[in-house]
Amino acid sequence: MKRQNVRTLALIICTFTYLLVGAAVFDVLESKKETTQKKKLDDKKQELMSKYNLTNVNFDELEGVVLQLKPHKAGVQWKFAGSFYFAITVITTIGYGHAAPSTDGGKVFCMFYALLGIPLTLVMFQSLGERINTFVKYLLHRLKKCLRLRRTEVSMANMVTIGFISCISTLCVGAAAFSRYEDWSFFHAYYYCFITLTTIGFGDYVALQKDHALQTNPKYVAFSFIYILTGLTVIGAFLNLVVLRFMTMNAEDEKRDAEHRALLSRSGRAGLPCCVPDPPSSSSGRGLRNVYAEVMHFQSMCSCLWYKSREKLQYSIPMMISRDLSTSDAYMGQGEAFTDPHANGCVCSLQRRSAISSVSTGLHSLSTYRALMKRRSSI
Amino acid sequence: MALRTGRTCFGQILRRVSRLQGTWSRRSSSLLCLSSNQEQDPGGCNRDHKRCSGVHHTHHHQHHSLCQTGSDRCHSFPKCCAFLEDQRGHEPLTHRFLVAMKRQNVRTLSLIVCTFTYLLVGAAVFDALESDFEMREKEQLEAEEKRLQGKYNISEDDYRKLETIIMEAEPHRAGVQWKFAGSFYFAITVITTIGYGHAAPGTDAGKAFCMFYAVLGIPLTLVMFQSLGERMNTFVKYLLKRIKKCCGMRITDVSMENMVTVGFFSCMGTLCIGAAAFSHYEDWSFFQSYYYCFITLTTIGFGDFVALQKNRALQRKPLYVAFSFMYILVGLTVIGAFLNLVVLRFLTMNSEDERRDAEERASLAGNRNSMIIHIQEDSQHGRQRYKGDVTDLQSVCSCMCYRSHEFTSRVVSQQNSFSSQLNPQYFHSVSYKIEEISPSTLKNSFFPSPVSSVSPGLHSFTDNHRLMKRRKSI
Repeated sequence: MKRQNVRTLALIICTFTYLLVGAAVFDVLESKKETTQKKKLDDKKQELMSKYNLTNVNFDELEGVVLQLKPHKAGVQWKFAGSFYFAITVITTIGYGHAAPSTDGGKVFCMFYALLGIPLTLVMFQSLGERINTFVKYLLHRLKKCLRLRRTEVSMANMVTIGFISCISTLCVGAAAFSRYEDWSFFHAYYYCFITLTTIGFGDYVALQKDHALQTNPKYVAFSFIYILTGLTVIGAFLNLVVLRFMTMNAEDEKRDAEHRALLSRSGRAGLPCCVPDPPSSSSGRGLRNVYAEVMHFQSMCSCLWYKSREKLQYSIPMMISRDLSTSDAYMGQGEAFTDPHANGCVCSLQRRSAISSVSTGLHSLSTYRALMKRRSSI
Repeated sequence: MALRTGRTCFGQILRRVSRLQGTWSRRSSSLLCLSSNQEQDPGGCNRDHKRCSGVHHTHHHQHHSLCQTGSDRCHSFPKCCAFLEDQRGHEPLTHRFLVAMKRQNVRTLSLIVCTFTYLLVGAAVFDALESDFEMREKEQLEAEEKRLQGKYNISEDDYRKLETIIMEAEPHRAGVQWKFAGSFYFAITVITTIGYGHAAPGTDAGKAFCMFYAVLGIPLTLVMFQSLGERMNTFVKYLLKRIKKCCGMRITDVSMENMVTVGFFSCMGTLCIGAAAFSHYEDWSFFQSYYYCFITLTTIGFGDFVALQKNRALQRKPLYVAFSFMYILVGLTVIGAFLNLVVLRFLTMNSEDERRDAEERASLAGNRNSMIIHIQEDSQHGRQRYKGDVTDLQSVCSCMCYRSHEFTSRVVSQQNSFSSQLNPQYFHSVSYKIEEISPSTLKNSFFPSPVSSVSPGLHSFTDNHRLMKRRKSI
């Protein structure tokens, strides 16, 4: 089965298992408290109802009013500051729900706003995150040079460590600030920062909802907004470093498979070297053919090396190359026609430089291979 | 590859090359010579030579002399040197700054500015749309509150208590939230980052576990949806191709527009199906259901509308529960597929540019006598950039034979160690040799014309090809 399919299936199974395990654990952790809390609340409710002689209908009425008043109690939600806060929760997909559009027009605009804003924000955070990673890498490199370490290259492990530490410190800074301003415990504030910066955004804890902060405390409001956006950038940088490459894996494999298929299918056509006089172009369709033609031509040029090269290639070039080369045996004869023994002047030096041509024929794939390895292993 | 670049691209080539550092300017001079040679007839370089040398004489004599030395080697080509750094001094400051600034930085800055503007505009519009309604609703509700408080004669303290009770009891009203079905629902909202908040962990242990659960679950889910989305896109592409063949159409290639259209319609279809289903089961209007599906599938998840919260559905209606879960996960896959198709390439743009710059720097650093122009094929900006490798070698084999030893010592192969019997350094030097075949070189040598159509760099060509593929194709 194709690698991409195996990978996808494995991921699906993993995710479902993860969900099942999570559900079981949450059940164990929360169920008991839920039932006890519910019982307590029911008791209190009954107590108040009997004290004031409220029927169930009456209570439902009261309940409706109280719940609807909840966002209003927290402050004016839709003046500019509140709207800005709301806009942030939309395009970052945090979505607390502390304020949600009540009017139909607001709902419609919210949908269109999200449609454009979410991709824009995703790209922005990844872009900025990548810049931050590059800058950190540069700083680390200079630091290593300053400290006169032997190896001044910045490894992936270095970057991941730094990224992780910056994420943790961002959360801690936020936790300290919000626990002070919102009167939460440090743990609750940390939980709030985490839920916010992972864009889950339950809404059980929401900043700027106490004491009409949105209207009366502009500095705190500004701090909150900046914290959310900066924190998301830091998390985004870490995701860019660690997760993004996995999101493109399938597509890269697919591309590589397509290239190989194309290469193989073209090698199956006998007339390829004769088709080479295409005008040089950068179209992807001809590109591969040109590349292969060049490989063929190179083989034909140093034809005397060919026999030697095949031996060496089988040992040194990865498997994906050897197939290409084996099919090119057919071109040996045709390749002769291309060579002008006096022109290339390499006949005499062929023996000395046999190793050169032996690698040249596999260069295409090898550089591809190299580039791919670079892609995977480098930051 | 001998791409025919236009005059404007030539100017861009100049600017791009002029950004190279001082030690490389010598290389760039002969590079310019050879690239112009690629464009025009061999005799045409004389014109450039006159222009180049004119610029030259006014400014940098030492470079001119170096160019002379360099041009001794390229005796196939006219002595042509352009000193490109001169170009810089004549451009306006801001233009120079923007040009000198790396593309990635410009891109990032403009994205930041865009996002902030978008936020400001959004805030203003939401303010205009919702503020009035909010004020009115608040007045109404407060009046109602007072009325009820007076009707039942509830004291202030008791009323506060009542308020707290009601707000805390809200999730309980909707049903048992933490039995297995409810926990599964909650787990979904965590790892997909929807996060309704209809139920949130009450215990501290639950909160802590929730955080660890999210740390591992969110990346897993992101990768899973992208992976599955990519598979879906590939399958749809295959289907479309078959349909096109069946319909007997001339062009059976599936273009990006086709895919985007299909993706968009599947997103719309998914939302509509969900809207219909939920409006039936939850007694919402179609519009409210559609809004709910949209807010859910974009993972915003306000929590103002939440499924499975009526009539104890979590416990009593297992089929509906299963449908809801499947709908959320499948819908997220469809949206993820569309994002994979349209947005993902933009997420990796900066990294790709950075990598290409690094490769360019590495090649230039490792190669004193030859240069690599990176002129990237970029369909979006419409600029023609090609990565062409220029050389001062006469013929492939002889130069390789006689000059390879020069390069062996300079080559650094850094990150990759592929097992090979060959010396990687030697290998690397040979790769440069291959790259250094320019069609004009071959043309001017004794090779027959078919060779001239051959691309000058296997390595560079495939890279470009892949990059182009990445930008243009799905």
